Amino acid sequence: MTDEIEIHEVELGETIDGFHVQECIHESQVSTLYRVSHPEHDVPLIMKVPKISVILPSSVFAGFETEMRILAKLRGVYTPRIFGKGDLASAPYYVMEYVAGTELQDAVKRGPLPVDTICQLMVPVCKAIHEMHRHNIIHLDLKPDNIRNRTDGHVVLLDFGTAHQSQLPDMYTVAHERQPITMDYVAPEQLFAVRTDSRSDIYAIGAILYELATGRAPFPGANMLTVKKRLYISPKPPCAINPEIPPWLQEVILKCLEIRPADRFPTAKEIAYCLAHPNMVRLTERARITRRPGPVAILKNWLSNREFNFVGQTETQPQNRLGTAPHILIAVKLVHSSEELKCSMRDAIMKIAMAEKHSYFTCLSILPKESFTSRDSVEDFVNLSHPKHIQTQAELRHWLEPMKLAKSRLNIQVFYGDPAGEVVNYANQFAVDHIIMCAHRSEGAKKTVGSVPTRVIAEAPCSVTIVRSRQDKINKEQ
Amino acid sequence: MKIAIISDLHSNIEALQACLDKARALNVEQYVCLGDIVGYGPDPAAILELVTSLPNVVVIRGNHEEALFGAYYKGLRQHIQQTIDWTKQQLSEAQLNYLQALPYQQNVQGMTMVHATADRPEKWGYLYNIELARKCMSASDTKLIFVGHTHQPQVFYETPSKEIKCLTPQAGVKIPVYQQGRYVINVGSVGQPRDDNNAASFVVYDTDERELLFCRVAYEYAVTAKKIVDRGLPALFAERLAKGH
Repeated sequence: MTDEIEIHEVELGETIDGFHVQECIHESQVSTLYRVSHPEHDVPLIMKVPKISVILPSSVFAGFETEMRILAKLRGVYTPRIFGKGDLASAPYYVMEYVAGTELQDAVKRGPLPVDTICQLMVPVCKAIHEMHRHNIIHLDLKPDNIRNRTDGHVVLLDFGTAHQSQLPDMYTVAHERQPITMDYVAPEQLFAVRTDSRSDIYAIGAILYELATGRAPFPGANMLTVKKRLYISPKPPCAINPEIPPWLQEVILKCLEIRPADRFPTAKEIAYCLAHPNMVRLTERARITRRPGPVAILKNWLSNREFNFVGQTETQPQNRLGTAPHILIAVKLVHSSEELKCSMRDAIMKIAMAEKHSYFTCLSILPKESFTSRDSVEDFVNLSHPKHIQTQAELRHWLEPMKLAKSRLNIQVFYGDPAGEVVNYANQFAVDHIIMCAHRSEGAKKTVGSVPTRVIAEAPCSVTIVRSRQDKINKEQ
Repeated sequence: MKIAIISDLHSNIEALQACLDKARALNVEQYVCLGDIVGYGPDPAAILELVTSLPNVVVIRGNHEEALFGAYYKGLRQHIQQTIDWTKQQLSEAQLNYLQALPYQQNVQGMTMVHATADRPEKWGYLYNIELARKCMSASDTKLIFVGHTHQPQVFYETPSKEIKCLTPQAGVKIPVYQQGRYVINVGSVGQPRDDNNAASFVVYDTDERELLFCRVAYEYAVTAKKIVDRGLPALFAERLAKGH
């Protein structure tokens, strides 16, 4: 039968497995955090110790173990790095890096914030959440308190005690529900104990965006009694609280906060993309509403959602959902490309566009520093008003026109700088799924940009396809 | 320590050899065979020799071993009886004596090893749902119970609030054994998988990390299938190797 757990009472001043326990910095109903040090680790460390007692359900311990295993699996890129762990049967604890930055927590208190600040804060948060979903992990308790940042600004997600990993046993039980979860960020389906839908985390992103944009929660003062209102009442439109909010941001926020998961963004990376490229947000009725739906709409919502089966909707693993709307980066330099190569490139893009109906494309052209004369104004370039910039954008648009891609699927960007570096940076920042780029033919081009594909292949975080024109190859051999 | 748990080999030596290669690569130190070493397949004597030569091996009785000797034989369909008869002819007296002495169930390092279910193992019931998993857990006092018999890899686990859930394991994904949970683990079949995947299935349990690793290993099933046909055994048993069901 299940093993009896002997609790090791951690005491200040003692040393456990080389970790010196210095001070207790936080105590909750379910665990205690201690500041610790270790002679071999020159970073601030904290030790988390679960509380195990007869009055607490044993599932609290399962939550501790879930968190420990998830942190070990994620290996500390967007989560605290783990430095040690004790035997679960005799001395349950783990030691992780102390992540001090509370940028988002502080920002929420200062809300409403300017749009630029909101985007700056939330693009990396969405990226971190997307990476977590890539590992089939659903957090289910995202809130500003659980999102911190390292000194280099890197976002770190905390508190995986109620998280779900879709490929692993889920030890969550009814007893867990007694743990305090902040109602402000809970998605409607979570009220039905649904734990398998990554779009519950999308709802939480929407709630955080709402708070940053308006200075208040979408459903202020929600508690166990009032929380069910969100099953049929939409939040007050953000622009009704803060008229400075542009329609595109209201569209993004309200899409995240849709009652039914299928109506929300499928992935966090798409939210990051919208926040960084507002012109790509497809505006709907959500962007235009200025007040909450009236009693008739509420009644309609109540009637339809009363019958809606939230529980039966969610068997897709997060990782599978991530692949349904791939973000494709087209890295191109038209000036060095022959007509044949341009056609081959378009063919390759069209094949993906047709096969992946929900794919969306960023066409990126990088103008190298060499093409910039001393007479040009850097400021014009940065402000996207330099004639070369405008000309390049026009050429790209013209080249892409025959593909007839919907406006919401294609974004054209012209940057200035190191071509390979900018392509890789963009792919990292916006969780690009696939890069398509040309192989150039001219020797001149090889000298200046020929090494770009090689570097992109080496450094890109995703698959890279290099398109070559067969005719170019024949011409070269002749 | 890493323990490989194999089951339902069914005289398929090609599948077993592929699994053993994988297990060796994973540094497995002990083997447990949950029975049904023989039946259906073409190499009963050779496979039994190979199984008994494995390091620190523990072997449990399966229903196909039972069919060689007991009344269980009479309840089987004719084509299965035909295979059992043929199998019996291939085995030496010493091998038959060895199989006859196999236990229904054994405790290995605090874990229950049984072919079908810990709930009356001699009845050979199929454990395929949560209720049957609950009965199996009730009949045992160990945290982990390893079973085979259905030829379908599955994990049933009990949460701290005594709720039983089911997980279909994915090959290569390590499944933690939680301190507060109890588990019934179906390791699938080495020699005749029936979950629409024709790769041989087995499990490696890491007792230090407390992690289960479900392994799927592709093998040359066409060779085994040809042997089945060549030896005059029912063609159905050859065909299902390719289909994986």
